[in-house]
Amino acid sequence: MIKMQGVRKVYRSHLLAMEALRDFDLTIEDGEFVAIMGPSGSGKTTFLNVAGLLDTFDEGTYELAGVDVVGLKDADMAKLRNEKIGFIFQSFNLIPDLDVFDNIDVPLRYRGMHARERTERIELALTRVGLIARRHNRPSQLSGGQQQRVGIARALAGSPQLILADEPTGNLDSIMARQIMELLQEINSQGTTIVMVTHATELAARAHRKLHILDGRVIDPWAKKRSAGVLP
Amino acid sequence: MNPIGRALMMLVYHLRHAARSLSRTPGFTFVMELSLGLGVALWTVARTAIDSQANVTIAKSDQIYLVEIQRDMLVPVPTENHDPNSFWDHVPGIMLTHRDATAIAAQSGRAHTVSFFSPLLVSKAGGPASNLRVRFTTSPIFTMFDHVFTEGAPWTDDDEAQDPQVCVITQQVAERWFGNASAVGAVVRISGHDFRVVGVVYDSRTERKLYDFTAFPDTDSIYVPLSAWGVIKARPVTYYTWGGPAGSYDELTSSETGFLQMFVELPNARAVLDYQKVLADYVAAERETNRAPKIARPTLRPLEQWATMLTATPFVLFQLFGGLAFVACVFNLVRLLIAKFSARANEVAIRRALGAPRGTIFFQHLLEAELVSCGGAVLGLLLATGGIAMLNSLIIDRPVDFSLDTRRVLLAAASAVLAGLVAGIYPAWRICNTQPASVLRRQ
Repeated sequence: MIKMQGVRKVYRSHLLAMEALRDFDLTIEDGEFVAIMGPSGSGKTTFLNVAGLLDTFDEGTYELAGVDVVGLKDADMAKLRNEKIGFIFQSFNLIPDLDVFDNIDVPLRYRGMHARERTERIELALTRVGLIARRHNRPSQLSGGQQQRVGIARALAGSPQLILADEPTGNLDSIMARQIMELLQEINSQGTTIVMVTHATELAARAHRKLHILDGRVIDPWAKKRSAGVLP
Repeated sequence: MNPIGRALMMLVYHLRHAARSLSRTPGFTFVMELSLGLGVALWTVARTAIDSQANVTIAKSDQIYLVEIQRDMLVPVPTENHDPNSFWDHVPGIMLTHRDATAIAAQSGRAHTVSFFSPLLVSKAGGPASNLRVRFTTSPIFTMFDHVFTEGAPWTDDDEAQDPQVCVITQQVAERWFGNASAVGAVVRISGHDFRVVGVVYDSRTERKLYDFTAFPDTDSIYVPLSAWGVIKARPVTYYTWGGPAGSYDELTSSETGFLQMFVELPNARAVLDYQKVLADYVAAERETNRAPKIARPTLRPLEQWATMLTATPFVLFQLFGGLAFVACVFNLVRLLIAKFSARANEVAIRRALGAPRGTIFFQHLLEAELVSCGGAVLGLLLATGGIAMLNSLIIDRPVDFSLDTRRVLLAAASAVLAGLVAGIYPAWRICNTQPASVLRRQ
């Protein structure tokens, strides 16, 4: 699903240049549930932005679902984002002026779907996250957990192959966080690849694979044990 | 979904969101619309003031020329002080003497409007006298300048030659004196002489009489043959004299005092060339005589060029002010739109993340600017209507009543829509280039 090799991302401001990703190599297979961990400022969110085509990178190669994204035009990248990726944000990022239904409708509109198909998909997604009864509520009328469920429904409605979740439980209490994780696991069990950035080790433990990012690079803390044959 | 259906769906979707976005902040939306509306109104009022004077709606306007003959000055006007576009620098040339006007008209054999006006005491037979403007003119004035007869017809050549005591009155005068009864055949008294009414013309207050270069609000009320001047012997109000105004009628007909404006109808380029030759020959011959000052530089000035020259300088300055104000208002709208769109950077970042291409975001915001411009157009037209009414009440010596016609309304609406488009381009371009990653990272 994701194949990055030698990716380098530099943020520049006037005289300063900060390398957020360097020699970044990562391969994530279809259907995986990968948790990305690392301290603040290590490059987790930058990786997620680059992986989600929300940001460009300076060097290296990146294939998303078999498509080489280097040199793609803005419209092609937007199409790829719309059709292949679902985003779940820590702060939900729902549009406050739209009700639940219209928020989920946004990516489907950009895909140019017929009204009937859009409605079917939205209702199905809302049913999966248990919020069909709140379809006409504004985000401000929902709890944090409910808002994140709407965010998940929005990501699900487009039937993406990949879900990128940036600390999806960061703003939720432990009970809500557990429910959201269960929902993500259920989605993953149906074949959707999930890449989740999180600080919480107990949540990361539910993923198939944990990756650590430090100073803009993927590191493998168990490499020595693995080479010594202690770990498989 | 096919591309047209998809485009229509997105258009409706964006329109709905633009309307919702504008209605969410009604005060701010009104300020934006007012900003554009003020600019449109000032520009429209200024354009109306100019167009009302310079607009030539006469059917044969491209065939009518003003005859201009300058006279040599004893003290030459310094070249640097001469402005070829200034109306006042042409005044001596357009005031033809009686001897020149009648001689040129006779030699060319073309249809001419030769006229001057004088305010005189006029009454219907037995009624109280009023001071009205009487124009002494040749009859081609009615056909050349598109006078519409509501009753009767112009006087004939025979009338002009043998029985010049005939007149044409305006509809306004006819209604005041005769009500609904026919005015044709009635007798009116002009400076103590009886004149028979042969026709009634519609008096438009919004179309400038291009044969009249004065800017008085009162236009002509009565037209009489030029030859009737011999009967009434009135003095013209405006004249250009040499060495003191001539006194008597006889002196005026033979002196160097210029007071007649002369227009000729020339149907094609050949006729123009022939006429120019007649003029040049006449001036050359007259310069051989002992006239002082000597006449010189005969010019045929197209009517539309003349109409432009008639436009008074203050109105041109007003137009300049209106144009600058319009530009300033559009710039202000740009700033307001930037502020409005910038506040929505987060929403745009979310939409971009969810798959909105940059072009779609640009179009969505341009559409919103266009909705503002539609409101601005309506406000602008309302303000312009009030502004023109104010202009009519404030400017007493206006040449015509200023009014908004369909063409100007459409022009104002189109300029508002265009201004909204221009004003919206930069803010929409700015917001569509929002980097979703940088906005979402800030949260």
